[in-house]
Amino acid sequence: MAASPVVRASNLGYRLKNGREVLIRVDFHLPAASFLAIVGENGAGKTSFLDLLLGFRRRTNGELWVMDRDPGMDPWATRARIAYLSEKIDLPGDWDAGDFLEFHRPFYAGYDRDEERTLMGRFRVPYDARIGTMSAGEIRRVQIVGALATWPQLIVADEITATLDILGRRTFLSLLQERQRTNGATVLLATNLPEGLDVYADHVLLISRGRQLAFELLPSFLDGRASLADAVAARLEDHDRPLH
Amino acid sequence: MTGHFIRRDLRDFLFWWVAMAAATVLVVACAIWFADPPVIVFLWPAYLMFALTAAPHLLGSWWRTQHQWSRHYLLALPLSHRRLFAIQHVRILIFWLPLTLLCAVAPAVPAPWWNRFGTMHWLLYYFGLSASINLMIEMQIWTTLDMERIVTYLPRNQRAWAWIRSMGVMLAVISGLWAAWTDVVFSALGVQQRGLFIAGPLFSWPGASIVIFPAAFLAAALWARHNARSWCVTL
Repeated sequence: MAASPVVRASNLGYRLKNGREVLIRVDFHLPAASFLAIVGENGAGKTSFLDLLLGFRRRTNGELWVMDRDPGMDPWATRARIAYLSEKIDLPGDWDAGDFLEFHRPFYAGYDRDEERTLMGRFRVPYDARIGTMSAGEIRRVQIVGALATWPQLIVADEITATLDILGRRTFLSLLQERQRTNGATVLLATNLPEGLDVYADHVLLISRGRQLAFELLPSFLDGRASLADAVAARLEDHDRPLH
Repeated sequence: MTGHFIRRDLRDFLFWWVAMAAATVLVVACAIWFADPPVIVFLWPAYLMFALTAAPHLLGSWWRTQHQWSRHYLLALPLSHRRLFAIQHVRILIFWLPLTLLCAVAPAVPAPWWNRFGTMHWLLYYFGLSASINLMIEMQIWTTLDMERIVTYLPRNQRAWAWIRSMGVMLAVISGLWAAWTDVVFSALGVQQRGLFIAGPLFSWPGASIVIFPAAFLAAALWARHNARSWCVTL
């Protein structure tokens, strides 16, 4: 019997109080142990979709299931298996990296201190580094360590790679792929920078102006193009081209 | 988990707790040295400011604010949002403890007006203290979330009215509590007032406390429900 999809969206919609449609008819089922790249232009609705996934916003239409739970019903036990990484997360500046991890650990029963130490070494973050003196990319690294040391089954990353340097980005993406392949973790990565994701992603969700333009396996999405970035650009340009 | 949050808050605000303790020792020493116990009333505004400043930090910020708690981090934790919001209340209440304790033990400070307090006044005093603090905490949470809403979502041409409305709500709450407390104090002192009267900068009337304090409790409960939904959509 096939495992149920980790994420199921059916006619999913989200509209603001002023009537603006942010997401319209998003529809897909994501199998377990997938690596989904969520791409689209600025303001397409990628972050809004992830906010719905985690229950930060309430959908106004359709259905959304994450690990067989409705995120709008506060499935807090499920969140123990989800790692959330975002550029929006910031931490008190007078803490150091060790303080954050000390605060973070008790919330997760499966937290692995050995894995934390391994990741700190891999991302080269000292425990006594003060958050107030860190760059945005360094803060992301601390966040990544805290999130992945819990061995999550679902990793939701919202535009987190933009602030990482080239080595940090490669380390992070390789780590996600390792977790996917060896632990069966499912990865959802929303990004404005699809360059280089071809090596990691196996599914692509393209959103433009709130609408789902495509949800496909990577080879099908590429459709003969040289790279994911080229394929995304071509699809977006086609979508923008007026009908004659 | 509540203890885990509170221990972290105590470490984060340790300097301010030490400052409050030092101010308390200084004022109490002055009261004893000069044999003038009512000097302790000078602690009241200091404790009030301390209580009012913590909420924005504790509630977390919706947008990415440099080096401040992110609400997304809190809401993504494997904790029931209802429990998390309750923990937020406890965290805020901790900062109200100095003021609460000061007001609770104030009657132990020798002063002529306490002798005039009858049973009813004592009941109103402690009931009113509890109601006032509950209401002030909910107002504090609402103000933080409302300012966030105004700055983030409202177009510029609507912001002025939104600010005025916000100020109006705060003024209404403070005015109501002022009227209630004035009624308690004036009636205890045996000062005869008829109908609406001016008490300092605002109005009051005989029996205001009996109406306002229970209403404040009810208002705090309803406001907490509203605040919960503003803070987190799943509540």
